[in-house]
Amino acid sequence: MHIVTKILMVFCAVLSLVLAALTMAYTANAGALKASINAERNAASAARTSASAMVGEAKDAAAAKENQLKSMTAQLAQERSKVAQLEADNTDLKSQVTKAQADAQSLINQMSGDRATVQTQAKLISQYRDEVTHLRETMLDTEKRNIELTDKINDLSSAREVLEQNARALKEQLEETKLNLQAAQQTGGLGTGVVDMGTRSASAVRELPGPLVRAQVSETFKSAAGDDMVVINEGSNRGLKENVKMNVIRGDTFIATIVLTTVEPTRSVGKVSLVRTGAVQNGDTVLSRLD
Amino acid sequence: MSQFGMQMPAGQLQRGASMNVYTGLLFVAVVALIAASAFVYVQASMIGPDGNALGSYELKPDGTYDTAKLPK
Repeated sequence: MHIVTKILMVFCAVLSLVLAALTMAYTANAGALKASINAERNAASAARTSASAMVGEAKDAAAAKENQLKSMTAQLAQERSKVAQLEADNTDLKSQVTKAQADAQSLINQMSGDRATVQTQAKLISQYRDEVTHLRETMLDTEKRNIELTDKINDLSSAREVLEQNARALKEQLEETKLNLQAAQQTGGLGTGVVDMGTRSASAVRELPGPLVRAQVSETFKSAAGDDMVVINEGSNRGLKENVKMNVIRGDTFIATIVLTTVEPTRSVGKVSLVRTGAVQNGDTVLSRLD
Repeated sequence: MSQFGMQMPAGQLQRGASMNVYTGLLFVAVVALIAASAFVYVQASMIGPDGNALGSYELKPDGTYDTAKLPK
């Protein structure tokens, strides 16, 4: 056998041992790695399953959280709107409080002014009371003086009326005396004149002496003999007597002359003796004389 | 004639050993083994613990292998 062959055979044997050792180690490591890989795969699968389950749970939790977040967001929006409303209310209330304080201050000021006014008015009322008291006392004194003066005036008026009545009676006596004197002068005899003086004085038509008497026609009628008769609203209270001549006017126009035939205290009846314009009517004015 | 390689009868006992076809086959086998060994060594170095082609992973008590020493 050639030496090279022998050496090759030795090399071949050695290489065969080395290859066998390497192959065994490689195979063993490959099996271990395969088992490990399978275990890792199983673990990975389990982990993946667990992870998917956890992901699902996390998704559910996230959905729940999202729903909760939405609800809380809505609630937050409501709360914010409530807060805004409350802030607006607070602002209104603050403005109302400010206004109420201003009103209260103005009322306090007004009350202070009113208090001063009331005090002033109280002083004025006190002064007025004193003045009214003084005026009442003065009025009482004045009333007393008025009463005294009224009594004096009444006394003087009574005395004046008495004097006027006396003067009127004297004037009537004087007029009658003048008429009697005229009648006596016309008859020429004192004795017969005196006898006739009563009848003439009773039947002669004459004007009323003394102050002017004014009356009005209240009624007109015709007597049984056909004479025109009138009724006037004055009588013996104003000094009218029978056979006194009165003049009837209407405005400034003379109407007629009447002679009183019946005299009562407040009315008289006369006969129309002379008609100049128209007829006597109710409301015509009757004068004792025409001045 | 023997210097020309010719085998002459009755000359066998004087001739030395020579390489024959088996030497060639062994040469080829040696080359193949070298190549296979190199290849297996490289692959074993890739999966062996800490790159050791002849090392083996230890079996843990729970029945799994410790692959912490797997080369990067």
